[in-house]
Amino acid sequence: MAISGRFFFLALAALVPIIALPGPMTWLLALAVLILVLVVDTSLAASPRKVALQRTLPSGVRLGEPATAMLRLANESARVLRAQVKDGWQPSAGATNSLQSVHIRPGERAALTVALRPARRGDLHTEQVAIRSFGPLGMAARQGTIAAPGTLRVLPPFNSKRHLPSKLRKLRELDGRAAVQIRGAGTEFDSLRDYVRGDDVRSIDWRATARRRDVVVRTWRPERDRRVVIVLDTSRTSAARIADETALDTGIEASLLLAVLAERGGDRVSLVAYDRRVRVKVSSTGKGNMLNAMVQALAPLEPELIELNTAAVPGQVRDVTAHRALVVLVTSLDAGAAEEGLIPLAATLAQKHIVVVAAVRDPAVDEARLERSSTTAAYRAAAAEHALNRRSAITAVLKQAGVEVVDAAPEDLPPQLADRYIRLKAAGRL
Amino acid sequence: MSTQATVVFRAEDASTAVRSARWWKRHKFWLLCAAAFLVLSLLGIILGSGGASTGGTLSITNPAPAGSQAAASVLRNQGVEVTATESLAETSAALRGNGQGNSTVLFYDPRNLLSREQSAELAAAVQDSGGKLVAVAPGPLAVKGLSSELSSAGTPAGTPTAEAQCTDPDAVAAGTIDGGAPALGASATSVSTSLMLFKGAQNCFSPSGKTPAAGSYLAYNGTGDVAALGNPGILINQNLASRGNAALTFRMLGSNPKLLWYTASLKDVPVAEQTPALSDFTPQWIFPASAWLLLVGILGMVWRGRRHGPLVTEPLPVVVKASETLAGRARLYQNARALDTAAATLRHGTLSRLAHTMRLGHTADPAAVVDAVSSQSGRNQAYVHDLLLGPAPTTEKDMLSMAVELTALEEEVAQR
Repeated sequence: MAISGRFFFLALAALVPIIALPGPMTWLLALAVLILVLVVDTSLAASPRKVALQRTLPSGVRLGEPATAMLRLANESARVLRAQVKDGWQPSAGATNSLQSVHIRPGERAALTVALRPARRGDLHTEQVAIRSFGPLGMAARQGTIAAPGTLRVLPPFNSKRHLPSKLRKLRELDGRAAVQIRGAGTEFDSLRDYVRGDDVRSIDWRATARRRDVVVRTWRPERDRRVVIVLDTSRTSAARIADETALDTGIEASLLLAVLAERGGDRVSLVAYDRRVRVKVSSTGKGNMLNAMVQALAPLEPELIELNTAAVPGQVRDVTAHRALVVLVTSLDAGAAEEGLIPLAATLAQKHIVVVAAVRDPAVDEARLERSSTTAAYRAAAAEHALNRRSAITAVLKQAGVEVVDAAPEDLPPQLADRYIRLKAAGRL
Repeated sequence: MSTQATVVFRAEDASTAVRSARWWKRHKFWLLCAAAFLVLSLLGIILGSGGASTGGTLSITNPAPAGSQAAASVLRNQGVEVTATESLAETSAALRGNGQGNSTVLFYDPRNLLSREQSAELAAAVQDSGGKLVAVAPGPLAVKGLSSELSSAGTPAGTPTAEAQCTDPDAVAAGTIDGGAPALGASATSVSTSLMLFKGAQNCFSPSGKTPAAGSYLAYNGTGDVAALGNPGILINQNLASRGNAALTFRMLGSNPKLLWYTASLKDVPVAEQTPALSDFTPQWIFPASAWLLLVGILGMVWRGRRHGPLVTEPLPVVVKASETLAGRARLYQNARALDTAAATLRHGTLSRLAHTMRLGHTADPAAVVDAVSSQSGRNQAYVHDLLLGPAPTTEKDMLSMAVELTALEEEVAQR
């Protein structure tokens, strides 16, 4: 049961005869007319339960991009359906026109397009469709709710995609496929070719030159088919909101850029999202689009309010590969959590693997350090100095253990991590 | 693009009975609450208003100490038909209906609602029907209206206890009466019954120290048809059994087969004397129109307030602001006025950055950093040493200026 604004204004208009002819009879008559209108209109409305619904949802949409969800209604009753249809999307789906009016004749169908602009990564749900079916007078309505669950998977935005072309160019330069020659571009023998002016004379292969009349140089290429294991920390420290996104979101961005880059570089990438149990595990060993698989798997990932089980991380890495690998720990360098867990973990891993620790640095701390306009700000600056001091101490300890550290602000972390990978690859350390 | 195109959703195929059962199950608690509330309020209204007992003094349905249910029920048991009336018109009609010489009227007007004319009218009606009139504590004007032979003689100073002192057979039979107000605390509705003295053709029960002619509790007119009883206390439940109260009461009230127990009420007040109500000044349509507007208001709430389907939930993720520990530590420093710690931290930070800028390494000696910085920036070495390694500031002002100078020094060195 529901009434419309029209019914309300009808009731308001009944005030005129009530004032003009005061008396209990007028009052009761007006009430009777209202009730009659209500009963007649409700009984002539099409049943909101005799509607069949079909949903068409996009399989995935990136955060920040608009999407359209299609809802098809088929009127299965014998009456004309004049209804307001409300699709029950959760608020963060950003459905701007989730309430729409339809007019469907018996046995016919109609399609509604609901424009969505998701405001959050993850699985967004709609549980039901509420149909408010008005009678021919448009005064009163019957309302029914039909359970019609639908899920829209909102993928990480992958904003760091824009860094990809420049990083790939760097990678190609390493590969020798680009025109520029760089010394030390890899350690794996690739092929022999004729010397051209500009080549490094140290790369001339004298034995091959002796066999031919022309000068021949050796070309090298970076090692291929190395293992890159990205361990994404989803524990409580990843819930920290830094510069309008959680540390986990920044970590996902950095992991995606690194994974795409490493895959193009010919390496095999695995990603493990872990806190106390494995949340996500993706490997490029399988066929198909690695990026798509990763993005789909990472989409519903949320920070968990539990401590990272650092003792089990080496086991997870061993699970992925038994060989020497580049292990990238995307975690946090906060004092306390790092001292107890991260440092021993990174030191253990560094005995067998190349370890890179990637952590998000809070720009607010750097700003607080420089803000010294008042006494309160000065105390704050001191606290910021303290935090940075602890952080640099942890970084120093990690570096001493042979661990690479990438510590950057949210927008800089993905490209800096990619740069570190390229540098390691160029140095032949993988 | 289409992942769920093949799934068709329909309203679940439940019968009306199943759905109403589910509806009942979901709303059972609140519906039962509402029902209990309604039943309890109705019960309260019924018990409060429609019950057999009332709280009025000298009411024949009041079993409390101040009531008169005892006298009425004893009279009923003796075959007297006791009827309670509330207005003069009702009483007159009952008198006419009872027939000639059958009626006794007990007239009680504690609030002096009846005018003198109305009292006279009552007395005339009683006289016409040939009955007896017993006026319980009538006012001075009313008693004049009842009979010209009776008059008020003020209030007594003594006790309500009195002896007959006259030849009236009822009074003689009673011997001594007492009464007065019911004991305080005996009832929550204890209303004091005032004592009054009357003078008439025959006077009985004068308080001690007064002659009957100067005023007594019971006064008759010449014919003995009209009596003024100045001591209502003898009629109430509490005092009825005491001394000769019962004898006087039953002899006076039970001499005729029908007793009209007339308690004056607001119905006796002439209409013209009532204060005009607000409705007399407002247009006739005000009440229906405002009642209708109330209804329209409720309709408006239903119109705007009805939701399209059930509430949709939004699962909120855990979000912690990263710089909270920083803010907490800063406030701790400030609350504790930890000048030395704060200054040391600031200096340490600047020193290590300067060492980095000067390429002196992590483990550089602070003195070496001071030397390098002073030569680089051209500042006085003593000033730089004092700023970086001097004694800790003692006031917040000093600490603030030191912090600003540290930043300035760093910028200066970085620019060169």
